[in-house]
Amino acid sequence: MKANGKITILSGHFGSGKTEIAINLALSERTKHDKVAINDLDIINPYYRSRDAASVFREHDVELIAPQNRLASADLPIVSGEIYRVLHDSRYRLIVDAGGDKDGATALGQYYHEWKDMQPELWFVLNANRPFVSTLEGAAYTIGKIENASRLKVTGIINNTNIGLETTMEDVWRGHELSSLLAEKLNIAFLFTTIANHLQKDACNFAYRYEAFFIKRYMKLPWEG
Amino acid sequence: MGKVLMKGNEVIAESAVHAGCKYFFGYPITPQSELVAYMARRLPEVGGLFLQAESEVAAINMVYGAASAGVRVMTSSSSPGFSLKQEGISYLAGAQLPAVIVNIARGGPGLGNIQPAQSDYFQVTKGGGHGDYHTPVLAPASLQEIVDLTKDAFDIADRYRTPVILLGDGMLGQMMEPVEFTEGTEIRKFAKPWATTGTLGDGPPRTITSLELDAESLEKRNWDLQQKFAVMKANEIRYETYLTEDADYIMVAFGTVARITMNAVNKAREAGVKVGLIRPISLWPFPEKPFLETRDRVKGYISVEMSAGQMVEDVRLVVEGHAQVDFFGRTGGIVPTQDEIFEKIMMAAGGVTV
Amino acid sequence: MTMKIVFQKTSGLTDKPTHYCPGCTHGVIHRLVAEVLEEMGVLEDTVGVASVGCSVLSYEYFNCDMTQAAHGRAPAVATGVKRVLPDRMVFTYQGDGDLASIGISEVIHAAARGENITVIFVNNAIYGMTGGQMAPTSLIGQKTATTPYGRDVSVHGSPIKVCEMISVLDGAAYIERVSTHDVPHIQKAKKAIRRAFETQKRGGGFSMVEILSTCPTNWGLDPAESLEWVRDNMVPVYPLGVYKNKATGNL
Ligand SMILES: Cc1ncc(C[n+]2csc(CCOP(=O)(O)OP(=O)(O)O)c2C)c(N)n1
Ligand code: SF4
Ligand SMILES: [Mg+2]
Repeated sequence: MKANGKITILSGHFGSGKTEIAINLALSERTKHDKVAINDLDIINPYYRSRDAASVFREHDVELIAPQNRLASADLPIVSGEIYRVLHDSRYRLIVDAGGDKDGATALGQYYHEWKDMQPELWFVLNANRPFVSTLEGAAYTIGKIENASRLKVTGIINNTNIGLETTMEDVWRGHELSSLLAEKLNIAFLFTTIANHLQKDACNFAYRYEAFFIKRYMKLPWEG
Repeated sequence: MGKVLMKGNEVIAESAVHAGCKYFFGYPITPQSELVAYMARRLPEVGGLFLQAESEVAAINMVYGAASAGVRVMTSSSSPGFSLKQEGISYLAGAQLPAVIVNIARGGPGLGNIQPAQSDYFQVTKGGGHGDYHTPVLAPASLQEIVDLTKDAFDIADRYRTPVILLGDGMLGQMMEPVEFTEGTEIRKFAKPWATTGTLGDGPPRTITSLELDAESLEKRNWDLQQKFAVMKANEIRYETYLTEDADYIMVAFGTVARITMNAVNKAREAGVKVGLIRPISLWPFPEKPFLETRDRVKGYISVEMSAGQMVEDVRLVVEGHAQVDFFGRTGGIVPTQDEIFEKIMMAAGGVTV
Repeated sequence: MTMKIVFQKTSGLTDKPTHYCPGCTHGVIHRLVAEVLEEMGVLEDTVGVASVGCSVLSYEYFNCDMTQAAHGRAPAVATGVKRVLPDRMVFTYQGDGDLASIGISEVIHAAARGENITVIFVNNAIYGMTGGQMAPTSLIGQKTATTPYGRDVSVHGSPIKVCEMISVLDGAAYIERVSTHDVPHIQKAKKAIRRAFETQKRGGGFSMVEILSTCPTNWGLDPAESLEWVRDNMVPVYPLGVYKNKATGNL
């Protein structure tokens, strides 16, 4: 997985898997660049956010921009001012993990003037197994809303169709089809597909034909090993 | 429709829609706000109505009104907001009105925090508001179970004319799992001849009230309510047992904590300890049977909770000193870990050699 | 050459950095209130009541005794404090969800009783803390997390104009609406806050200052645009000015 520019913003329907992709992308960027920061801009979810993987970032020397310490888990949708420093330091690659839907994308709007001339990439993560975005119309509608709220154009689509631990390649293929149609309808690039590590074997065929990245899951529930 | 990946709060909302609930009155509070936002978007799609009330007090009374008008109606909140609904719940119980009330609990008391908690157990199972009443309480442990229990909650509400509480913690509300909704299953229709819809010229006027000025009449009404609770106790108990047949020790846990505890049970089994699990699904009525069946042969029970020890009191009540009852809990939004629970089991089983 | 001090820290605030988003005017309003209390020399005689909203932690920022109230109940808590300690300055600091939605009855009754307290009412037309839901003060057509199709009068009613509503109550002594969208308005806001506290000091009765404020994060606007949004969209709906001043006979 590779970012195309300085700023990569991950958006999508609420619960589409942006955070896992953001974490994986940040770690992969760090292998290529000295300075990588991830901005947790999720003002929608109270937990299961990038900031909950703080130790992973520390371990891999990725800077985490998010409310710190006790504010990290506070019932406050606040964003950190640290982002401005990183935006204007040319050495940095920045990954932004936005909250879901237009409500999450709304928090992006405040940076419009700050980054509009930096050609930020706005990726739309699609999980075709989520309600409201399982149809072409639903997904296109959500993209429209996100573009409106963020005041940016979506520059790429990522197929992250899964159903948690029960995912099969059938899900991936279906998501691939919907993503292709969506990309065609809206004239947006279909970038790649992300597949959970545990499906690596089954995905051989798919990965041979299409661009696919295997991702590790970091957000685990207390009863998951 | 196949499986979809959903968040707990969304599953509750969608399950309610599937159960024929078209009216929702709510007020935002973390960690259940997604439920409110989902309804805001979804209910207009099915010709229903979503309304953001000015407070939880208003929301529960809007529910009272809609229930009086004879429809399936729901409201939801989290602990501090749920406390505000207690007055209305007492009135619903007194006036015998069906409704489903969701509590996605968080850390308390007071404003506490927004992390998951089970410390509203006392409040939901012992009545919570004023007067002699109970409300059935259902506590799902997985998102698929939410689908079934939400439907059951509406059926129980209508069948017994009672408010029903669906209790989860923030973790259940926020986590994602695959779920499947069975389309086309029939929504049970209950006749509601008591509903105040305007007589429309058909029969005499009806009244819905919890007021009963005459002491004898109020006492009779209360005994009737108790009668109804007895029927619920006979018919509406739900629980699950796991490896209890040969168990020396039985863990007791509900909701998400039961899933963590189950892992600890498996680990302890591997270590040679005969341990099982009772998972109450209906917290009221509390499942007494699995305890009565085991209390004379097990060495002890351990209640595991995200509280300072609440359900453990119900366990003690039913075990009646026949076996040791222990407790392990974390509070403040800290989720007990599998390893902690495992250690607690091993400690209890101290003498047992592998 | 003597240096002109353009910005001096007020002793009315603690050293704790505030948690507010960049461009959020909650911080500005904190400073105004703190400066007024400092300038009046009443910090040590003041008890503040924090509410529930993004400003929930204001009890850590104001350098005076503070107590934290349940959502919407700050004016009732302030009543309790004031009735026990009538010679202390007592104020509440509340958002529009807190004051105009769940707590509307508490503020109306505090005003009706002529409760000798000061209410600092921060109106940002949204529920900031819980992630951008509709507030009673949200504007017609405003899209929020709970009005995905925009605020519609036929479903959600019209914005509540709190100053207009409260000023008709006999107990209300000083009611003014101000804004934070530029420096002159911020200066006016400070004067209004001062007059409100002076009203209390005189034992004049209930005083309230409604302050139009920003929420860049939930509005999706940058700090400068947010100020423009206040000026262009909020001010026309919420006209600024003194709605009541018993002292001058402006009833
Ligand atoms: C009884 C209760 N209900 C709901 C909540 C959740 N809640 C916290 S703050 C808030 C609204 C905050 O909005 P506002 O008062 O406008 O303050 P802002 O964050 O915009 O400054 C709500 C609904 C709560 N804490 N307690
Ligand atoms: S969410 Fe809005 S009100 Fe809250 S701190 Fe941020 S900008 Fe201010
Ligand atoms: Mg507000």
